[in-house]
Amino acid sequence: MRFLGFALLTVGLLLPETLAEQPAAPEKKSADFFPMAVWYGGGKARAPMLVPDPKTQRQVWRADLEKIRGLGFNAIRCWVDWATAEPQQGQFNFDTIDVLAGLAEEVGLKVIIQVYADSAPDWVGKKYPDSHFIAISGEVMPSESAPGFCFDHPGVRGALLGFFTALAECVKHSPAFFAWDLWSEPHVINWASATYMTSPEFCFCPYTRARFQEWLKKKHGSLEVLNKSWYRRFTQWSEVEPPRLSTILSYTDYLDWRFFIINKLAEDLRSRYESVKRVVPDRIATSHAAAPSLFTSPLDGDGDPDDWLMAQQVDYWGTSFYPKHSFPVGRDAAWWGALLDFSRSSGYSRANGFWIGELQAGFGTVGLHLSSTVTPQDIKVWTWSALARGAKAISTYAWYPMSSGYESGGFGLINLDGSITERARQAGQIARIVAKNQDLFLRASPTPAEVAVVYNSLSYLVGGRRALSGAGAQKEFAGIERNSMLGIYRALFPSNVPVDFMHITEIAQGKAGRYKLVLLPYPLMISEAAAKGLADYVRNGGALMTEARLAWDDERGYAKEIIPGFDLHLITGCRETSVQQTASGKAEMEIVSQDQSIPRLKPGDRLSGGILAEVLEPSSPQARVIARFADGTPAMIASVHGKGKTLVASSFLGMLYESDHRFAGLGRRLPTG
Amino acid sequence: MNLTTGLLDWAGVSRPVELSTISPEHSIEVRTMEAGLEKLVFIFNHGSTTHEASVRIKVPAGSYTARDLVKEEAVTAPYVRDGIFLRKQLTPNDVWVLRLSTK
Repeated sequence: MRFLGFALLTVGLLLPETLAEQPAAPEKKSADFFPMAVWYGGGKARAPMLVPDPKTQRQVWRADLEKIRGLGFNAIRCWVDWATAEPQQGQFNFDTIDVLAGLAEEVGLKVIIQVYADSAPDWVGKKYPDSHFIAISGEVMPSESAPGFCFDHPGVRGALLGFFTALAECVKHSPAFFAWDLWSEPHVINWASATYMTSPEFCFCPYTRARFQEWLKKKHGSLEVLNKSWYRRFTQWSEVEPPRLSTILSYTDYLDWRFFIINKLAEDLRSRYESVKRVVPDRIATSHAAAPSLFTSPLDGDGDPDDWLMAQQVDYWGTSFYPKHSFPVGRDAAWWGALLDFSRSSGYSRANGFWIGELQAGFGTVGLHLSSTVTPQDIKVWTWSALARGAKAISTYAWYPMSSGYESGGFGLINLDGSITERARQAGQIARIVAKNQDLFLRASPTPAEVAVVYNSLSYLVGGRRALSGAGAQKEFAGIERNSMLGIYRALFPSNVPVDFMHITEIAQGKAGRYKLVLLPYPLMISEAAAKGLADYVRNGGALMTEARLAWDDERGYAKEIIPGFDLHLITGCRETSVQQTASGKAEMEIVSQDQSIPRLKPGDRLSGGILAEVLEPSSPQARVIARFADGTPAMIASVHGKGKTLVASSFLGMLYESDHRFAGLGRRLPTG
Repeated sequence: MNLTTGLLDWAGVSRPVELSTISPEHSIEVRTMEAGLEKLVFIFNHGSTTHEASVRIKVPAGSYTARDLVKEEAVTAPYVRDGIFLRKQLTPNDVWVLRLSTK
């Protein structure tokens, strides 16, 4: 599992155009088996490591599998790491899988195979010495069991995909083999951090650069168009490099670079998918995120994926789910509700469900950072929370605690001495219930939502390349995108109304009409296509609530002449007259109108937003000022357009609510769990 | 004052679930899933104290049976107005999982 800190920045997705460029997605596939699995790789080695001499371990492993089966689980998730399984090129050793699959069949368990390609054999680096990852600084990233070598190198690509094919050939006749997970927590760089590097970002090797150039050719068509877009003067494509600087001119180059990385991750996943599907088309192929895009950021130098785009590449996409991870105070139900609903929304956009690739089984540790105790009640609530949102597989991480590394001793369902815990019995009990009602759990889908919170990857990119932490004009407001979405979700949570997260690309595709209410937090930067989708949505009867500075910038980072941009001021019935960052970090507003269309607001009620105070001016006879700032200027305006209606709040209410729950007036928070 | 609740009303969003009593901590969470004429109902108490969950699940008029999937026992589930009424004392971190079927 990948460590995600409290200060972690939010994540990102893709440009609408790039989503459309993806190859045809696999067909929807429904399973006839509901895996309730536990991670077990044979003995006590922690993933992705493997115990040597697996054939000598049969008796011990069988006893473990019988315990797993006896508790109620119906599957194990075992793993294979490339370095161990192909120690010399073309010499494969899949003994661990052979032994485990055979034992699983005997015991009555299905097998999900987790493939770790980031743990690459050393021969790859020796054969292709120019295949190391290169950081933005030009430093070469060594591989010390991880992170392996750059997939954009043709030799590495061929070797890796050949490994996947060989593995598929090995397991295709195993009756116990049920499904793959082809990539655990995808990133450009995985399972290794160069702590000596400053703000590392990958990959700047010649092969990724060449792939970026090809991607740019496809997007822009000609060097002339690229030069115009980037405000550069390249004379040939070979001069084009990924941008390294934040300049005052334009950051269209950076936008292209980040969306290239997001698309590259999706294409790389698809390559793995196709390499195994050619051999075993009837087995389910999946992958899972370290955390949904809600909790990551497209600015992350390791490269974070877009959930919606990844979901298009495999049969089931999913997520890791660590409500306590290694933190002394666990997250609350609204937090993990948002995580699960985000993963659900992306998963159900493509398939009939999503998978929990990893569910925290025991207390977590990262060095000296230890979580609070994970109780049987935690396991119960977390597992049912995932099932209640339509998860179609759960893999609890892990059977044994980690036996080595900075997570040593943590995350185990049982104890390292093999003794069974109450947590394990609780997890097994739920697994039995699901198995007994398998048909119902497979068929059931979450009650459709009429409310959507918009996820917009462009919002993270306002201002271009920025440092992810610290202070100063060029630094990111840490977590503002994530908190803007989380705060709105959190405020809705007590209502028990189903809430989807919706990728803004789906709005551009005209799919917003299935919702009665669309909430658009932190809407600073959107594409022209998304703006048109929003206008159509309102015109056709939708209700849109947006926060401040709607469409300030377009998808190239260029400011619009009127805000809301792209003529959305004609839809919202108001326009910005001025804006400022408030000294206190808050923007207080007071309801001034008893507006029957927003029933629960009454004069004197107070709301608070964060960071900005945008002064609005009604620009339509149908617009009404609902709230004002302390100086009397309009702060919230409602209007109608076509068959629909709009409400513009001229600050960031969701962000403030999430970061400081005493404010915002959105509703009440749940206690921290 | 609650802006988000007001927004739900403003947009005409339907409530598939209604709580008869609200706990001080707003700790009761209800999730539903649908499979044809059947429903799965999950009722959580995320609060720090025991609370009686009184929940109405909106369903079409009809005759329904409810079954507790954990205890494997039938549950009384009268049809009240336009929904199935469910009530249970839930301790902190308890989860009630039910299968609703038409008779």
